[in-house]
Amino acid sequence: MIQKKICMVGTFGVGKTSLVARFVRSIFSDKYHTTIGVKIDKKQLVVEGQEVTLMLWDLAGEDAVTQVRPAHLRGAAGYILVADGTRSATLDAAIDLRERVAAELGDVPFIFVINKADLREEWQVTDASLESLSQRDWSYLLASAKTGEKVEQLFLDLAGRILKPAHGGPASALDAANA
Amino acid sequence: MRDPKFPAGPAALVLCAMQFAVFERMSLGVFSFVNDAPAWFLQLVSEDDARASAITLAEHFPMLEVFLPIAESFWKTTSSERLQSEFWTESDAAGTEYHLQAFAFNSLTPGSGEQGEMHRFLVLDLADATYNERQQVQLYAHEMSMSYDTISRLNQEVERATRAKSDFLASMSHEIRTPLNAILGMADLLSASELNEDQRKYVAVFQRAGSNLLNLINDILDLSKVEAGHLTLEAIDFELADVVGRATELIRVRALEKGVAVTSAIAPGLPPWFIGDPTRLRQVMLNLLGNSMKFTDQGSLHVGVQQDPDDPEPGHLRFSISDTGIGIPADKLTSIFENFTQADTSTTRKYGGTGLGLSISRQLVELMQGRLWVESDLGKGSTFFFTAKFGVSDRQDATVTAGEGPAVPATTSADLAPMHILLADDSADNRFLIQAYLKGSACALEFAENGEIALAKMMSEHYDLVLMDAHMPVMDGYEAAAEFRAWERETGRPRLPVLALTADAFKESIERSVQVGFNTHLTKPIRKATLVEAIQKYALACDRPGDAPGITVYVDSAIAEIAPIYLQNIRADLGRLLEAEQTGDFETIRTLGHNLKGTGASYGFDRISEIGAVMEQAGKDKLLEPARTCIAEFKIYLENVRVEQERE
Repeated sequence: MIQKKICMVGTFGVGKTSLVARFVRSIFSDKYHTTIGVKIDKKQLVVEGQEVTLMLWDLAGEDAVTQVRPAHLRGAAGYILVADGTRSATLDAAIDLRERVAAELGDVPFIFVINKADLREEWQVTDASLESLSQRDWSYLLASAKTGEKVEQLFLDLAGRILKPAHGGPASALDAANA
Repeated sequence: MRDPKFPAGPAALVLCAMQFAVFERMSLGVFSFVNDAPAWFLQLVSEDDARASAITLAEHFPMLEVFLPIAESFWKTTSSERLQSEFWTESDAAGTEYHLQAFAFNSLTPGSGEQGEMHRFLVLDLADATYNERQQVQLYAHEMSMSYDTISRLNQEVERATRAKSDFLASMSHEIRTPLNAILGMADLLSASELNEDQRKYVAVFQRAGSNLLNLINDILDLSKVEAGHLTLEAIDFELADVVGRATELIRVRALEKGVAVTSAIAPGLPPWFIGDPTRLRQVMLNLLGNSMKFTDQGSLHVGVQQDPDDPEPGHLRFSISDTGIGIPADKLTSIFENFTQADTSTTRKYGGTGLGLSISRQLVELMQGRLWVESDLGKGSTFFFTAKFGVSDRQDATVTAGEGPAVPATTSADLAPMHILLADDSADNRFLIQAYLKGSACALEFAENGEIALAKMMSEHYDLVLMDAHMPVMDGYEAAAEFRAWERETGRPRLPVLALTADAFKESIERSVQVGFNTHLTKPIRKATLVEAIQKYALACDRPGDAPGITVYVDSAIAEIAPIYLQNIRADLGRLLEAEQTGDFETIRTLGHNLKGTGASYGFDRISEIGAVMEQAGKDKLLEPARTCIAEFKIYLENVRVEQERE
């Protein structure tokens, strides 16, 4: 069976663990448990008729002292950049992270997710900053780990792009390595 | 399954009971069990795998892909230390989480050889307790960090709101002052025209009401500025006697009408000059004097200044303003300093006023690091005291206090040299008002309705001076002025005087005006005399371009021939006047002014007679500034005048 490693990255408290919990176990808890180190989950999917196991590496959120470690990213076939719509700085941080992750992983599929879509009225992330993501051709989703909105789509979209790399780009070599 | 090398003894049982899964490294990535697998291990790894003689651990624990390469290098050493992995979390099929940590270490076991045998061990530990401790610490740090972010954001919102309030005030002040400017200006013009007695009375009423309204707006603005922290005090040299003199002089007019005497006394021994904000000090004194005046129908007002009896530091003063008025009941002695409050609500009717004056005064005094209080005897009078901390200036000279020296002749629009002025203002009323103000002058006025039009005109036509409203549609005055200054610099043109004329009275606006390149900032409502003086000052201060429009004087054919000779002759006077101005020779200025006054008009140069008259007066009064202005104007007139014979 094909196994694909996917990393969840972003600032602390944006909901990386909650998105995974919603996707893998369909559960949500309002209580905040910060992740220490790495949390590893597996989820089996059928994408385009192919069975695939997603190894979800949920990396500890970045804060003043914790930074994403390149060793944890190694071998990832794709990654999810998570921001919290109610804290605009987390989107800036995710954009900044993308550069560092891309430096480590090269041109592998990624997707931005702006979490906490259920708190839309408290959002600080503006349409203009979302527009700037589109302008750079970066795909993004507005999701809610709490309600489940767009969570499945998030992982399925990314898995689909990992398994069907456009025109056999650099991702295909990694696919072979990961398969 | 457990490695038969290691016999199951009490030690292996203890390891298992302590939830350790201990392995010996067999080959790269392949391990054998040292003890029986603890319960948690069996939740994460299938029974078959757990019971096999060898296990590829990274297949079950992906995090080991990160740790094992480091462990491999460690095992190559013979270090007796142990290597520890980060925490990681695995979940079993039921979703139960296991917080794990891996350790690598080397151990030399007694063997057959002298060296013994080196074993490489890997331990997986269920580290829930230490994980939870770390998590608690981290959680606390994250919560602090989020609270800090929230506080910063709220702070920013408060700052934004304060800015919005200040902007609102600025625009309100503009919106109210602009029409008021038109009303007050028109009232001034109307009162100067021919009116019958009734009409004069009516005009006086709306002049007075307009002035009151303007004062009220100024008070509200002051108060809001203090409250928003926008009001900053100046620190300049001022002469105490001058400030006290000017304040009492202003109130004396009203006191005379009521038959109330106004006296003042500055304690001997105080230095004459201080460092502080004389404008705001005068404002406080005027507020208190005005207040005392309002409630005093007979008797006297007295202003006293002395060293603060409670503070011997030089420059720390105590002011007192005593009256013989109605007094204030004891229970109202503090509330009168609150906004919109008077001692008796019924007095609002009888004595008028908004009750803002004392509140502003109190806040201004607090800005001067002092305090304001009142002592009163009901029916006998009140004394308002305030203290203030000033610096002491080392200046000793004395200036002429207003009201004591000779009056400065008022400037009229007729005094203005002929010039081409552009007025940029979107308000038709204001354009009309300024036009009316300059009606008697030889100035040619042109209009622009917004900054864009003004800018185009300024770049294509010649003007001697530009008056520009700061707030206009399409392009505001700030932008127009900034662009124009940039254009001047690029094209190497001389600096044209551009004066901001706006109802916006905020200090920030004034600073911004200067920043973008306005020569000065005139605040509306503007009085005619102020406008004329400013035009005169700035038009003269500028470098006049060579292509200034000439002044053509049409003279009678009988003197057409001798008029140019006359001009030639008086050019010599100009040299003497400039010299007299340098040496402060007022007698020469007076004599030459007198001559010009007498001769100019008879050669057809009425303007020369006018300039001469003012010059003569300035010489007589020994006033340098008006003399200088006249001489400069005379010079410009001579440079530009052209004589033509009157057509038949």
